[in-house]
Amino acid sequence: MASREFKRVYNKLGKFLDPVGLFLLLAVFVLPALTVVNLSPRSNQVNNVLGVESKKDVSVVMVGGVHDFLKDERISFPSEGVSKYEAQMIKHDIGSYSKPILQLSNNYESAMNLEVTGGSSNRTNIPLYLIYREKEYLIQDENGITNVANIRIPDRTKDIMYLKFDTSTPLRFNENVEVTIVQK
Amino acid sequence: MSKLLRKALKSAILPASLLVTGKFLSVFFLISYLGNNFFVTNDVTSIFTIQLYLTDIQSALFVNSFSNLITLLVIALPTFYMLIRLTLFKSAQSNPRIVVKLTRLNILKWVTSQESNLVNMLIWTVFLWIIAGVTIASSVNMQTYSWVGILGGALALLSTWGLLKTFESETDRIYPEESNRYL
Repeated sequence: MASREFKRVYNKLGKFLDPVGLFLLLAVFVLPALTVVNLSPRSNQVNNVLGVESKKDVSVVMVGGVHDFLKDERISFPSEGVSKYEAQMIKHDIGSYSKPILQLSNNYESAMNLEVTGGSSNRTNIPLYLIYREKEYLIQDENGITNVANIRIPDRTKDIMYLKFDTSTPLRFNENVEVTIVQK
Repeated sequence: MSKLLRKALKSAILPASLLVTGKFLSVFFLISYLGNNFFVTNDVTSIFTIQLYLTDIQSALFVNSFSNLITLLVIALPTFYMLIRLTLFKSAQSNPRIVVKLTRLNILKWVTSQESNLVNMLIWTVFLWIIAGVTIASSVNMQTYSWVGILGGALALLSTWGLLKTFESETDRIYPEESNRYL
């Protein structure tokens, strides 16, 4: 009885379902196509993908992730060959802390040289170091004076750069940190 | 809702699922095979807000190319399988000699086991065109190897040609070309 009623209503209203059916059919074609396009990965490099690049570049990619005392990380490329990493250092107690911040890749046959500078916004007495391939580079000393670090990226390597800060007096407020990498 | 529309919707679900699943699994399989890091970011400036990024361009090219190739094959193989069966079935209906040949090869049961229909075939061909189009566009944008794009185009054209020939033989049965068959 119920199924007969349902069939009667369906037959009556069935013709109104045709546009809905057409829309669904279109969606069944379009949505998978868009999904396939979206699933195609991209790379951060904006060069010739056939492997022959007109200009050699060290690829600088932000590692990301969660850390207790570094947040709001972001990376920007203000001009060609220049990468700028910024983050906010959260107030913390005495101690030595580090976090992987950037992945540097050199896919070429020759080594590349980078000039790295950086510091904290208020130039507090927190020495800042960059650690790359087990070597430490001081970019801001305990007096707040910044240094330029020259880092050599060997050929065909992909390594992580760490930011390290040694806090000898507790940091009572959040502070911005930036690291600028210029390719020579 | 019309029967044809319902049939088309029913036929479209499997190729749509295969398309998405094939692409998804192939991308992540290739990324894990390469052992690369990947990042998922929100990019509100583009059409798709969530985008998958790889760290270097060579890996992205490799993953894009082979995932497109795998997805292409996932759609193309069933399409050609159905096309061959449909073509043999339609040919057997019009030509008894083909029935004899199929019987000799012991594949008559396979050809006639399931009713093949043009709607199903058309839907699969459209999906093949979709993935071929995505692959070709990706090749033009230099995100995929060119031979993958060429292969996609060739498969799509072959499949369309096969479908048109089958459709032609079907319409020839209903409206024969030879005028002496008409009264």
